[in-house]
Amino acid sequence: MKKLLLSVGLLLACTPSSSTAPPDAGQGSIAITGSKPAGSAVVWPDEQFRYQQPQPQQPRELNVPPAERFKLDSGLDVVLVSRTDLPTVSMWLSFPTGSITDPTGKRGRTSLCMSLMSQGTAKLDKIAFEEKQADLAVNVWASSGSERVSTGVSSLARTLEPALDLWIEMLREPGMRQDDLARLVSARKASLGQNRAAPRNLARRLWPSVVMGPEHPYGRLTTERDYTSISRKDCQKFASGLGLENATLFVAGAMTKQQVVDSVGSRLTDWKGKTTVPDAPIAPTPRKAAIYFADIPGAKQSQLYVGHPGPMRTAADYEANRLNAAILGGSFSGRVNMNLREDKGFAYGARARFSYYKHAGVFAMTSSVRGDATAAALGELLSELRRMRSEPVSTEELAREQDAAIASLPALFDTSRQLLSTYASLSFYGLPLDYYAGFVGRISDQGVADLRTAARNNLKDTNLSILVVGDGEAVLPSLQALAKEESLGPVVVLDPDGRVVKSL
Amino acid sequence: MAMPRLRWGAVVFSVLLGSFMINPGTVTASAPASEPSVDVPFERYTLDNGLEVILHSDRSVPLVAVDVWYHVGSGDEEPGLSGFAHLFEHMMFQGAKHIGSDVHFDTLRKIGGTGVNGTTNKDRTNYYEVVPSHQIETALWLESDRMGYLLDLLNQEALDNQIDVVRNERRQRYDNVPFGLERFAVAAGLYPEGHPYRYLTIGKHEDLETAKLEDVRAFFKQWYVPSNATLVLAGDFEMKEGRALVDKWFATFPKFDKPGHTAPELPPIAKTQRTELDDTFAKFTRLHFAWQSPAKLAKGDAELTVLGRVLGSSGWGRLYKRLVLGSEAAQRVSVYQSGHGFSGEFHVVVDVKPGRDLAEVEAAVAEELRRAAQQPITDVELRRVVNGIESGLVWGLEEVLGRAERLQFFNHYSGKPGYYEEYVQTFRDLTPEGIQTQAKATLEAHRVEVVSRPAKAETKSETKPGGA
Repeated sequence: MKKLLLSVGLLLACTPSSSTAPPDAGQGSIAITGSKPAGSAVVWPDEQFRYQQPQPQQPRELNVPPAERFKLDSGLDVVLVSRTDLPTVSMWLSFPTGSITDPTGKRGRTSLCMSLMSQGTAKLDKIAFEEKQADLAVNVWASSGSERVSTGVSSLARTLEPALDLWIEMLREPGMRQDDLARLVSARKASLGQNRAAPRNLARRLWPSVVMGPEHPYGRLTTERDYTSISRKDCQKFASGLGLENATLFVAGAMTKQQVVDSVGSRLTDWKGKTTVPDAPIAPTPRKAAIYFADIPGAKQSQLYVGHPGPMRTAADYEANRLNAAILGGSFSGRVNMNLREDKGFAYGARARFSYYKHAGVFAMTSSVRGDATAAALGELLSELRRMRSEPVSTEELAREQDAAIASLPALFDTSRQLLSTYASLSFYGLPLDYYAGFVGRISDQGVADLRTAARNNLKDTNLSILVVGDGEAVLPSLQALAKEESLGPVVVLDPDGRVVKSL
Repeated sequence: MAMPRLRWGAVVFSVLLGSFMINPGTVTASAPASEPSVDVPFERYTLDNGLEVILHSDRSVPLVAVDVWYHVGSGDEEPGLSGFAHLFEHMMFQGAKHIGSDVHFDTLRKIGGTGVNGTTNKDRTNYYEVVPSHQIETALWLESDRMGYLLDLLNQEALDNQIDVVRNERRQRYDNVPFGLERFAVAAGLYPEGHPYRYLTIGKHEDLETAKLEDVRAFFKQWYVPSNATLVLAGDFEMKEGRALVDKWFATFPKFDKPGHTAPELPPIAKTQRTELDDTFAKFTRLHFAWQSPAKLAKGDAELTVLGRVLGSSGWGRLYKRLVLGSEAAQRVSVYQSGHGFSGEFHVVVDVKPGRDLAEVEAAVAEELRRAAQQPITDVELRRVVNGIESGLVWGLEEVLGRAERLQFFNHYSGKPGYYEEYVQTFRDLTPEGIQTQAKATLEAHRVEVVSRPAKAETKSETKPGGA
């Protein structure tokens, strides 16, 4: 169902007024008594209690569903969140390998092969496999990332057994048909064409190559030639490299440990083998500092990315980095959103964040801005970034983001799937599953000085990676002027595959 | 029993705003996979001022969803004010008398609010937040203040800014993406000049640009009265306490007449016509057919919902099988019924791969549409769709906000928050023959056809400051 939903967006912030304090009672209050819609005199009440934010009640207890961790006989690690309030089960199996292992010339191999695996089984072709899922109302899926690939199933409890049969059949005897591969390759090539032509898609495509490096495993671009050279044999080899040793099974929903042992364990007894964990890639090798530009004639907005490689998820100052990014642009209330959206009206929203590969991080500020405001918006992003380094954050901002991180904890435990994805993420980064037990203390301990130190260490305002995708004729002159004025390096025009066209 | 390795212990989290007791859960004895209730129990009542209230108490997680639906959408807009209902939604986040200016998001962020947003469609505008349950009253404070006292802080500067923001939203979602503009062409074919559905909820730049403060005031006074709103509280609270809090924050508001909706005239499409567009950003050719169809939950809505899935479902849908998996001429296929308050739309959308023949795709689409109108679908196809709809409704219950929205949705369109059972039964009662009858009635009428083609490289649209 395609319903049009226009959202106000999750973005805003102004100078954080400490809204727990009652506003000045006189402030802007013009009683609208006497407004008489529908012909009747009406009075909106002037009540004292409305002038201040209500006091919170006594907080209730948060009963965190326990995560059980155990091993099946096959040696497979299991993390189970058992909840019986809804008759649903989600499970997924994650293997610690990913696209960083793609050979040169076959970029996209992992992603394509995971898709191919989920097209059917030796017995069921694509259509029969899809029909069976639809008949059961279950979903069998596969996905891939830089250092993790996963496949899973979600089902109502009443269809779990046949759903597991189908899923395990796919895992153990995937179809890996040549015609499915050819169809997937053709569709991916067509998508590549579209991704080069639409501003947002092109910016997403190019950004990792700019900030991590065009030859780096985290930054390499995929082209048609890669897809053409990936064979069925490559995918069979890839699939046979997925073994249960080093893998983790995540289960959430209406299942007990015993049921996992009985239903899943029994179906996996003959699966041997080990997934080889790839070595960490070398440190990121960003392109040299410049404004990288890709031209899409007719673009009405420009896509902006500004950032640099950042610390790892496991860095000791993670909490300070997180709070800094939150203040700069973690939500509607962040500085870049309040500036670009609520103050200047340049954009629908703007954000800043650290994101994390397994072995590296990236810091990025992003926005999609009105074409004629491109250089001005970029200038504002840069000045907000510098301000993070040059001035301490305000105690109000720090308190707001500490409160937000801590007070929103119950939302992390709202549903079993959410809880499980929290655990899966911890497990991916090698963090302990009881990470959140110490979370409140770690967040609360951060002071303005800690954030300042972290900002100076982990937010850079020189040698930045900058990417702009927009209408060249309209925006290049102002970008060149900005680059000169701000000493950002040259403006380098890239083609949609990340090759340098010219340097201005 | 293996001991859980993960030990939370009974940790007391000291928080500036209070504290959460985090307890280790206990594993209950194995519950057999039975058919649990997917009921969402609720109480509904109306305050003297006409505000409708629906309470759903579920104490399993210390969260409460506060969800307000105002029964006004872009379908109620006056000519010349397209996009206004949505622009107004933005203004509802700009501040009100007691809470102050532009602090809505900040305030909710500080108390751990999540999922904070507002959305507008043709029929209604909703505002919601999920907050830790001990902070329920702050959410009610914010919602009641904008319901009662929005106009006190209304100012030109905020309106000018939000006009910019909304026009940026339109650029981001429509003007700067592939196939953003063909949606306007489809609506222009379905609805005559002056019909509010014609301009889509986002509206026209030229209308947005000229919105006035007095329009905001008039819209607020006409539509944002308590008697035109429904407040849902869902989650961790006691019913008695919920009622008392709603009374405190909303019951002293004055009563106004509930505004009526005027269904605009909708003449049938006189003749099937085709519009051809050049799309600056597209690399596929998009074929888009659309028909006028029954309103949401009206007779025929369920039939066409099923038909859409039979034709378009990824994997097994007839057109998907034929065009994406079979001839591989299409990149994607999308077929759906979209019911709104006054009337509905049935859409068939196919993206044709570069280098493939549009005529061949059209012939296949025509054949499948003919078949749908002339032969009943199979029992297997029908059962598949009904299973999917039932299971989708169960998955939708996971989150507390999902439950709040379900109560609102059914309440708005059927007048019954608990309409779920009847809704599912409607689908269970469908027959292939009944679906065929509806398919014939809808698909054999005149339709809109829009074909968008990738613009040639030299076609360059003018970039005017401020956008199109």
